[in-house]
Amino acid sequence: MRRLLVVDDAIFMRRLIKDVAREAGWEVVGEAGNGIEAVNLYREHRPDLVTMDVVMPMMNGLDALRHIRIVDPEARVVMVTALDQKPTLMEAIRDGAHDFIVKPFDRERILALLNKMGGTEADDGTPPQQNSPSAAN
Amino acid sequence: MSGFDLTELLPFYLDETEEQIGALNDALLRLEQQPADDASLREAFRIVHSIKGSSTVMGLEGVSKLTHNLETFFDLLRSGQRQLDRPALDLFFRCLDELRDYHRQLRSEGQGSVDLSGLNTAVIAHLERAATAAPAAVAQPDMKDAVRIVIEFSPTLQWPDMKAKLVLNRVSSKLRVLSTQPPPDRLEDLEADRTFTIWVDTDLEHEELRALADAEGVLSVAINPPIQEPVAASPMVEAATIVTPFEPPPPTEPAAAPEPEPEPEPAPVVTEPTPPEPPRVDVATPAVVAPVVAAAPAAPTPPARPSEARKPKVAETVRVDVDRLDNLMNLAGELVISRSRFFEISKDLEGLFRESNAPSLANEARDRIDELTRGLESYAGTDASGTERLTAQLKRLRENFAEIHAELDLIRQGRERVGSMVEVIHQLSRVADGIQKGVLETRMVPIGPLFERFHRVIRDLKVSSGKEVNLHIDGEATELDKRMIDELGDPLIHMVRNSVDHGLEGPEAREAVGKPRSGNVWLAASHRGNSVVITVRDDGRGIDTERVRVKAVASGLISEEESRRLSERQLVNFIWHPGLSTAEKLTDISGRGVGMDIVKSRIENLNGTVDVRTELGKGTTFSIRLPLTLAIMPVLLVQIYDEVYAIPQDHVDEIVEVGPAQVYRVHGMKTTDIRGKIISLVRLDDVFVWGGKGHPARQNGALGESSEKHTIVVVQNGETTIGLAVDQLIGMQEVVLKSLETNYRSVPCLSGASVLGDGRVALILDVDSVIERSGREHELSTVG
Repeated sequence: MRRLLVVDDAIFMRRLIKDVAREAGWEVVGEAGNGIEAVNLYREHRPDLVTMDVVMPMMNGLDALRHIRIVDPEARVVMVTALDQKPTLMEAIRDGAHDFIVKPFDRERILALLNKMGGTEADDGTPPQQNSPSAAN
Repeated sequence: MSGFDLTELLPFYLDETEEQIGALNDALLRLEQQPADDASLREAFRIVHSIKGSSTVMGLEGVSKLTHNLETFFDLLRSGQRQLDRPALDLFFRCLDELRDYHRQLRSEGQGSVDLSGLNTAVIAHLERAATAAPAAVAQPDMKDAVRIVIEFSPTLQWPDMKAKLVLNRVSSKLRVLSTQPPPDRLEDLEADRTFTIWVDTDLEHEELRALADAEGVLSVAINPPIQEPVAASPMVEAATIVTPFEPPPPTEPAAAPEPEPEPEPAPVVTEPTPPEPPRVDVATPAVVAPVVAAAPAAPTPPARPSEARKPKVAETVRVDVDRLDNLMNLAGELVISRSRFFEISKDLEGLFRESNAPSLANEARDRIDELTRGLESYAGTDASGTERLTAQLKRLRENFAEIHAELDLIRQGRERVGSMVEVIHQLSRVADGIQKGVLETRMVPIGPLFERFHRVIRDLKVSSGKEVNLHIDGEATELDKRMIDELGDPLIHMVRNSVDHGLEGPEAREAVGKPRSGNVWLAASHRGNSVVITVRDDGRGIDTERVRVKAVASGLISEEESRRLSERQLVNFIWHPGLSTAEKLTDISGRGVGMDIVKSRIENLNGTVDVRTELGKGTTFSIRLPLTLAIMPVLLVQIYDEVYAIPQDHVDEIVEVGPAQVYRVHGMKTTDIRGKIISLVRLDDVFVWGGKGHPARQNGALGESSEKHTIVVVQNGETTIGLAVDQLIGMQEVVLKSLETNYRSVPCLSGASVLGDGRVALILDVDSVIERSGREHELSTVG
C-alpha cells in the first residue's frame, strides 16, 4: 500500500485529501499542520508521497520541501498551491517539487494525482525510495 | 517597410538592444567561467541574432554586419565546431563594448559614429581561421538515441507553463535534455497550444520515460510518435552560413519584421510590444526555432507550427515617459495633502456637530410653553386685560420657538450629513492612499540589473589591477525608485573600484597576512523600515586611520593637536573630504582619490546618507542609506516654539518625558539617562540661529533650568543616539517632501519642507546633520 503524508494548516483540506487518499487505497501515515511537523513526520515515516500546502505557520511549505529534500533527495513532494503563489511555486519546482496542484480543486483532481503516483512504480510493491537509475550523464 | 517611421521605433530599439547587450555581457561572463556552457552559448547566439534582426530593420548596417558575423561565430561554437578560447572571448568583449558605445551615442546624438568595421574585420579574420580548422574540430554529440517525448496537457489545467517547467525539471534531473518545443523561455506558449515536446538523449525504457513525464494534469505522454507535420528545414542548411561570413542578412527578415500595424498616433508613449524584434520563427533561419537542434544534426526538427508560433507576443508592459510619472507623483502628493486637510476639516466639523441633548430640551420647553398657555387660558375670565397680554406674549414665544425648533432639525440633518461625509472622506483617503502607493510602485524597480553590471566592472578591475577578486551579490530583488537607481550607478561604481583598488591587497600581500589569495567584494541591498540600505563591503586591508590623520593635518584640515583628540570614527570620516586620498600610488582605476566627496554629495542629493566602517586588516564597509522614495515620507510632527518641525520616523526611536532632576551635565553637555544609556540632550537652539541670534520666542530658561518636564524625542542615525527636546508633540503623518533648495535655499540641518493639512509649513529635520552638529558642539565644549 502506498503511503501518504498530508501537510496543510487547514483541517478541512487535510480531511479532504485524507478521505480521497483512503478511498484510492492509500495509507495516510501522518498529517502535519506546519512545515516543522512535516519534516519530522517525514523523517519518521518516509512516505511515498507528501502533499504540501505552501502558506503555513512556523515553517512554510517551500522551506519544508527544501528540508525534506535534504533528508531524502528522492522525496516526492506535491505542492498544493493557490493562484497567487506562482513565484513560490517556481522556486519549489526548481528545488525539486515532484508535482503541484492548484487550489481550489475537487476530489477528482486529487484522485487523478494519487492514481498517477500509484500507477507508476508502485505496482511491483518496491520500497518508496527506488527510482529510475540515473541514465545518461 | 514603407508606411511607418523608423525614428518612432528608435527608442524601442535602443531600450531593447541595451537590455540585450546587458544580457550578452552576462552570458559572456558565464562563458568565461565555463566555456562549454551550452545554455549561455545558446543565449549569446539568440541575443546576437536578435540584435542582427532589429538593427537590419533599423538600417544600421554596421551593427547588422558585425552581429551577423558574431552570429556565425556563436553558431560554430554552439555546434562544437570550434572551442571558445581566450582571444575569441576578448574579441567578443571588445565587440560588446563597441556595440554599447555605438548605441549610447545613437541615443544621445541621434547617430552612432563609432566605426565598427575594424572589429568586423577582426571577427571575420577569426572566423576564417575557424573555417580552415573546422573539419578537424567537428565533434558532434552521439544522437542515435535521441528520443522525442510528446506531452499533452489537459485543456483545463492551470499554469501549463509551470507544469511544463516541472516536467522538464523532473526529466532533466535524470536525463540529458537536448531540446524542447516550445523552448524553455517560451513555455507560456503552452497556454494556447498544450503540446509540449522534449528531445532527450536516453536509453531508458519508454515506460520509465512516461512515468517521468506524467504529472497531474497531463492527458497523455507519447514516446516517439510519428511526425505528422513536414519538417520545416533541415538543420544542415545552417552550415551554409558558416562559410559565407559576408552573406547579406536574409531578405525575409526585414520583410517579416514590420508585422505589427504601424502606429497611427505619434504619441511618445506607446503600448506596442517591442516591434523591432525579429520574427521568432523564420524558415530562413531554422536555428531560432530551437537553437539546440542545429547543434545536433541527427535530432529530429521540432514540428513547425506556423499558425500559433508566429503570433506576436502580447505586451505585458507599458513604457512610460519618466516625466509623466513625475507629474503623476506630484499630483498624488498633492492629493495626500488634500486628504489630510479633509481629515482635519471633518474632525473639526464632527466636533462642531457633536450630539447634544438640545432637541429633547427643546421638546420639553415647547411642552412647558403649551402648558403655560393652557393655564393662562383658564384665568381668561378673571383678569381679562392682564392675561390677554400674557397670552399674546406666550403665543409669540411659541412661534419663535417653533422657528428655533425647525432650525434645530436642520442641524440634526446637518449632523447626519457630516456623518456620511466623514465616511466618504475615509473612502476617499483609502483611494488616495492606493493611488499614492500605486504611483510609487510604478516607479520601483529591482536593483538587480544595476548590481549585475558589477560582474563586468569586477572582471575589468581584475584584469587591470592583477588582483584576484570574487564578487558576491545579495538582495538583488530589493526595489528602489527608478530615478535613484539611475543616480546610484556612478557612486556605486566608484565605491566598488575604490574597494578593489585601495581596499583589497594583491594576492601575495594577502597570503602574507594569512588571508586567501582572492579578495572578496560584497554588494548587498536590503529594506530597513522606510529605507533601503546598500552596502559595499570588502575584506581588504581596511583604512589606516593614522595615515588619514597625518594626511588631514598635512592638508591643513585640522591642527595636529585637534587631530589627536578625534576618535577613530571621526578620523575615518575625513575620507569624505575633497582631495584626501590615502592610496600610496595613483592608478587609473580610482583616479586620484577625488570622488569620495562627490559620492557623498550625490547620495545626499537623494536624501540619503553614506557611512563608512573599517577595521584595520579586516576590511571596509560602505553603507548607503536611501529613502524608499524621493517624495513621500512618514514623519513625527513636533512643535518647537511656534514652529512645526518634522522628524523622519526612520530616525525616531522613542519619546520620553524627562524631569529637570534627570538632566545631568557631562563635559558641559546636557545629558540624560534612558534605561541605563546616557544620551546627550539637544534643543534646536543649540543647532540653529534665527537671524544671527536665539529664537525670538525664547523666554524660559534652557534645558534643565525650568522646573517643567521636557518632552524628548530620542533620535538616532544608526550609530549615535541623542535626545531632541521639543515643546509639543503634534502627531505622526506622511508628508510630501519639497525641496528647500528649489523653493528657498539650502539650510544646513534641514532636508526640506512640507505643507501640512492646515496650510502650515513644516520644516523637515535632517537628523544626521543635527546629530553631527550637536556632536561638534560637544567637541567644542569639551575642548573649551
